Amino acid sequence: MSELASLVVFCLLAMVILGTALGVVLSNNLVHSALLMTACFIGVGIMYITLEADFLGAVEFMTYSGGVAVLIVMGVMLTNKGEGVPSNPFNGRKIWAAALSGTFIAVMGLVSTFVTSSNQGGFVSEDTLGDLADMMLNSYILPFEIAAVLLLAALLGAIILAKGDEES
Amino acid sequence: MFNEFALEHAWLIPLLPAISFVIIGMVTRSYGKLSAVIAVSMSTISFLLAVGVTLAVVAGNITVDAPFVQKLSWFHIGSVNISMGVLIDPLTAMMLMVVTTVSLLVQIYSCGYMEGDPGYGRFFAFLSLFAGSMLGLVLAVNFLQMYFFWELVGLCSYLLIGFYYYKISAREAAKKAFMTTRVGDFGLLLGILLLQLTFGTLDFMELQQLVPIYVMHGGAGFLIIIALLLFVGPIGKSGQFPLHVWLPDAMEGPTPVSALIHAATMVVAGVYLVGRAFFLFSQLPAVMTVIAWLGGFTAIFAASIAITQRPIKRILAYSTISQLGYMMLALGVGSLTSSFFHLMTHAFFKAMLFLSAGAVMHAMAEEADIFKMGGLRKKMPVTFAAMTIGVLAISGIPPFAGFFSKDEILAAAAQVSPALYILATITAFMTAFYMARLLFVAFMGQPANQEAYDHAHEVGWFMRVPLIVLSVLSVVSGIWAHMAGFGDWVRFGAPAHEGMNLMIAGTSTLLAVIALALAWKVYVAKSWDADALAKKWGVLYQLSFHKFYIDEIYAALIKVFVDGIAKVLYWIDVHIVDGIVNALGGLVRAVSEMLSPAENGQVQSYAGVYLFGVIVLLAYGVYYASKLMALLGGAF
Amino acid sequence: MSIGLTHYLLLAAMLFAIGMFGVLSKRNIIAVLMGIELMLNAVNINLVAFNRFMPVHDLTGQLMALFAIVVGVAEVAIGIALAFRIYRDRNTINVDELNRMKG
Repeated sequence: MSELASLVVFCLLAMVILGTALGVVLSNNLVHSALLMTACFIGVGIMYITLEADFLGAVEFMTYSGGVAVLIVMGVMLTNKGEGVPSNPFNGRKIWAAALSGTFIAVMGLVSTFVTSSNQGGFVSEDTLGDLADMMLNSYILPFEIAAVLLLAALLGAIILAKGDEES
Repeated sequence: MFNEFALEHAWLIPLLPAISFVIIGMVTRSYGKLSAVIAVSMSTISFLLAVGVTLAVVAGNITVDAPFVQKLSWFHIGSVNISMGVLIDPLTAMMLMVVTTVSLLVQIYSCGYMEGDPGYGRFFAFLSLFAGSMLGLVLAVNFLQMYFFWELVGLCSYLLIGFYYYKISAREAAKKAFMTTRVGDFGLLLGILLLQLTFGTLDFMELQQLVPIYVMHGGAGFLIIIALLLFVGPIGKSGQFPLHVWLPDAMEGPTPVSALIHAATMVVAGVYLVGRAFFLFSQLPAVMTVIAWLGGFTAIFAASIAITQRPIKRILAYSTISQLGYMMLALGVGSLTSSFFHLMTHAFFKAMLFLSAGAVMHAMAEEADIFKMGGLRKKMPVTFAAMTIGVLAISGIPPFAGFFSKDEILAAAAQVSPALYILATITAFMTAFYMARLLFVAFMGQPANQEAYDHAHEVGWFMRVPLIVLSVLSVVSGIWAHMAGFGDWVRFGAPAHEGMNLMIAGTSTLLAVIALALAWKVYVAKSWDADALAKKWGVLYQLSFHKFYIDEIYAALIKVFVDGIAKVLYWIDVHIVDGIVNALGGLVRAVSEMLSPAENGQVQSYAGVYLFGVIVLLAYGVYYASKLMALLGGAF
Repeated sequence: MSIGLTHYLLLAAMLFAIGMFGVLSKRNIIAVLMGIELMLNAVNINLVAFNRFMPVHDLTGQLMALFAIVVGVAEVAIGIALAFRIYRDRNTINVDELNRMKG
């Protein structure tokens, strides 16, 4: 891919990601927010692919755009009070939050000026899935197992929380 | 053999009654007779040991200059080493004899007197504890041990005065005794602390060496303060003016207690302390003068009150105060011998007088007013005989015990100060008069209360035996001690060999006889009307009858001072202390109100603060990294 | 001008800031969760970009991102369950009203 093409692709993706993300936080309608978030995740997934991380991109599509988005939408539906009122309003700290976020971007901009090693190779895998599987089942077997336990615990916890106490 | 054993094991003397207290208090309290047997047998062993110690003192030539001392380390605080032990010299031996004798006899007497009292066992437990504490006090080797037991006898006194705790007056009297003596004890404690600070030791034997050197080099100035503070303790404990007010009220306790504690033993602890610390007091003429005059004043003051009192025990109580004043006077004029001689004889005859009074009250259904008795001599011949001997003894009629001891005091006073001698002589006259009044009114004449008189009866053997023994002692102890050379043993400094001053002895005896005759005329022959006399001397009579309004004055003073101070302190408490506390509270409240909006429960503002912190750290990191980069020349 | 690490980092920072803004300023608890998801994704972009551009020799960065995704998914599941529970118990998912910890 030529430099120009990659620049264009990056800019487009960046615009999609940031635009949809802004839409998520600025929208007054929670359902719109959820849909825009899904779009944002898709953009992120595509960005992973441009970063030579195709398996991670696939995971992003499946878990975030798929699973998490569905979960969020379910949550929205289960907790929605109905029509007539903005479902996704701001609170009183909007200005402060915006200032804080702006400051964060400024500071991170400063940090990024220290980065001098751009485009210095890095590691590009021919077979990300195979390599990841290899690492996960060899060097990182323990975190892998712990992640499994974590997911199980989260599953049970979520069920118990959502089910609630037995009404007596 | 036995003497040496007794001397080596003198520590058993106070320990045995203490053990008896523990046994009775913890185990046999509810078995009255058994408790009495335990207490009496322990006291008997103590008495025998005391006899052994006394014999050992005489045989082993233990004098005041070369006492027998046993010491054990009690405790250390920093560099201060305090020991506990026994110090035996003739003073101690005499006190041991007096205390064990009276204590044993009173315990035997109590077996009869307390018959049927629900607190029988408890009474013997307290008596035992008292005996143990008093004997420990007598044997003390240093001021702190003495102070320890001093407080313990004070506690026993409190417990026994308030023995009939269901009577409000008994409770009040116990409190009064405890608090009044506490005033004195506080002074004593201060004095002891100052002694420790000044000399670095409280041991009697060491102080005896150190004090004269100190006086020789540094003068007496500071020691006078210490000695006066020490003397405040005896003022409280021995009922000297102005802290005498508790002693008459202490008669609320059972009569054996009055005999043992408030006549014969505990109240003379003050005299004993001054005697024990005589090496200090005798170095300070100014303090000696104070002691002599305070004693003399107390003697005549209490005697003048005793003349008009009506309850039998109250008369005896004021008499005790008066006689204690006598002892203090003797100490003040520098005659340790006469003071302790009088202490011994007084212990015997005053204990007997109290026990006789107890017998009378026992017989008369607890009637205390002598003017409601009358004519008892036919009903109670033994008691009457004992009382008569006691009265003759205290009045100073030869050959009874009081004559010899009182005469020695008068002689000693006459040598130092004619004024004190006259004071003491007048007191002796008054003493003879009021004691004769007591005897004549209660035992002579016609019964004032026929019904009570009919019920009156002679007391049982338990109570009769101690009376008889004490009567014998009251007769012989004076002349025997006089012959046996009491002054060779119980003395301070060189032995005093004084022949009897016939002039002084004759005068006092004559005055005593006149007083007795006067009392006979007024109260038996009724040649003069007592009521008319009282009216004639109206103001004086009222003053005396109301004890010079000392209690009322104290009450008023307390009202003015204590209430005034309380008002001031209340104001300070409300406006300043509370003000500070409220201001602190207000400050905290204000600050927390300032800070509490931060704790608004809004999780998002918490998160905001947290992220703000992250950003600050990040910014600091950026700044630090740029500095580092400049240092390294622009490259990581 | 070629696209390098700096660009990705800036993008991730902006995405993170937007998520942060959402977390801090939205009233609805579900929207707050969404903001958290955006922040997680920003971090993952960082990880993947580092793996792509920094001189490394394996896929540790991607693996790290994978684990982050797992944890994030678990978090969102619990978060939604909690939101649901809160809604059922207190009949609101307005974060402003959930201030029982107020001092």
